[in-house]
Amino acid sequence: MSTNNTFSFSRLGLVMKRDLMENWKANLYRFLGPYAVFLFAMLIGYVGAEDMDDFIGYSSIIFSTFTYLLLIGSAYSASQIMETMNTQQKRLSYLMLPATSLEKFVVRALYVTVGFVVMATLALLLAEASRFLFMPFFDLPESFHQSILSGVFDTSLIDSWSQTYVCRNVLGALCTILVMCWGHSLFILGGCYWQKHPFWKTLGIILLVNQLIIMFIFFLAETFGDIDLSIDGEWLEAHMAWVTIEGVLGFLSVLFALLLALNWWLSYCCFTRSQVIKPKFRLL
Amino acid sequence: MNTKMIDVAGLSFSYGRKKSKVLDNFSMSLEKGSVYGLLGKNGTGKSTLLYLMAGLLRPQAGRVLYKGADITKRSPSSLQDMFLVPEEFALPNVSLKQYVKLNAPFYPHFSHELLNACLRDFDMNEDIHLGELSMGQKKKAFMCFALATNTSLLMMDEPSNGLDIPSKSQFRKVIASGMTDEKSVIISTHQVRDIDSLLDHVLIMDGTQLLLNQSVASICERLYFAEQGMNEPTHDALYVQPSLQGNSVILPNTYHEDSKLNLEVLFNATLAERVKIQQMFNL
Repeated sequence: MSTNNTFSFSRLGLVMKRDLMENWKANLYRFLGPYAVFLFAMLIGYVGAEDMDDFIGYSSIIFSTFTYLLLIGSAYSASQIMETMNTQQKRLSYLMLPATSLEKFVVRALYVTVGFVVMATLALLLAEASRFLFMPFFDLPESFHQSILSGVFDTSLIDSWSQTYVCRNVLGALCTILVMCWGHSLFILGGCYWQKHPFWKTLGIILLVNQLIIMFIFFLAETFGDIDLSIDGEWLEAHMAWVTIEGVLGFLSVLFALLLALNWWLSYCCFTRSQVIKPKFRLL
Repeated sequence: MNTKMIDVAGLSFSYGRKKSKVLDNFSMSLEKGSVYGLLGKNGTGKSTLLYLMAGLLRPQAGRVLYKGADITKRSPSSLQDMFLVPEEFALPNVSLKQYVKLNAPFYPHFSHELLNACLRDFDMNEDIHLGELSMGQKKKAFMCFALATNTSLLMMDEPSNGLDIPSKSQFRKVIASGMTDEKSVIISTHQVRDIDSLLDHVLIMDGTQLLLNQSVASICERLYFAEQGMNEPTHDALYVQPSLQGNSVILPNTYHEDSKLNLEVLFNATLAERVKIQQMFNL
């Protein structure tokens, strides 16, 4: 056992091992959930499949399922960052564990980020293997006998985003990733702040803030209805010529990287200040 | 040589800004090598004090130093040297062997011999599964683990709650056998009869303050505990409490006679005759 009071990898390993083994049941359910979703999507896709074109559509369904599960599941997983502290007894046990707050926080952060991706990928692999067991029960064309995973992973996320968003270069991709990571970090912050139902509370706050922003814009539009808010192309060209798409993307990347760092820092502060009995209306 | 283990100074704590204070300008210190009994009525802040001493709560004012280190920092060197057995606790759904394997490495002085000896005293073994135990059995297993960590400070909140009658005497035995000059144990309880023979020091709390903080030797040196018949005179007594035999009384120990500490009577006397009792200790 290290006596280092700042950070020790051996202690980090011990906390992680303890977290994984003591919560084996929750971890098993967390693996079985995505597995059931993938297998269900794969079996539903078998219905009515007749030719090669159906396999392309089938791959697309599985890819969409994987993407949506990754997006929604990672947000849900992030909100569970302090699951080990959601009751007074659990808080007591975790806070009394002889490791630094940083080590305990890093373990939980790794578990809900990297751990979730690993678990979702393993679930996909197992679902793919299980899919073959069900093939004799369906009248499927030969194309369905090939592995679907190459199709899923060929259609890389970056390629998909590039068709949907402004991701024409590395900076664009970076900006998109940072925006998504920032969104994810909101759930990390929510998970550190709320101990009961953190996912729904965070989602509720995000939707509420969105709604308020939309209402504010409508309010502005109604209040200043007589002002011409339309963009004047000539004015833009004269005054904003120095603005490039790379510049905007660079600015947004820096902005969201800072916001991302802020959210993680606030989450860590929230964890280090946590107490065994949570005071009402606690501030960070 | 510094024998001070915990130093609590000017501690104030409440569970909300508008709520009344549980502890107000509270100070005390604990020495090495003693078993402390922390007594008080419900809601007087015994558990809160234990949580504050373990760094699980943050005081609004004051500080707690554990061997000179600020406990609110929750540094591993402090945490690996103390263990808290709360009144209610959560144990994972694993075997005790697995639990020990996962948690013992955090405690550098963990003793498997002590664990097995303690389990034997409680008629248990390491092959039990924590998810299949009753509350009392879980408590015994957890207390065995707590003792086996061999930490300098062991804090226990209502440890005898939920234990059957034979286990209560076994509990006293395992605590006494695990004591050394380098260790301290704090036991917070209402079940004074379960621990009175164990204690070296008595702490009685009431209404945010410490009413009594004396060693058992000092108490017995100044106070004489006796059982009297119903018709015996009690006019010299500091405190009288009706009992089955007649009266339990506390008298000034004018002749320095030996008597056995009656914790229940002392506790009631300290609450009812605070000034008289405190005067006996020149407080």
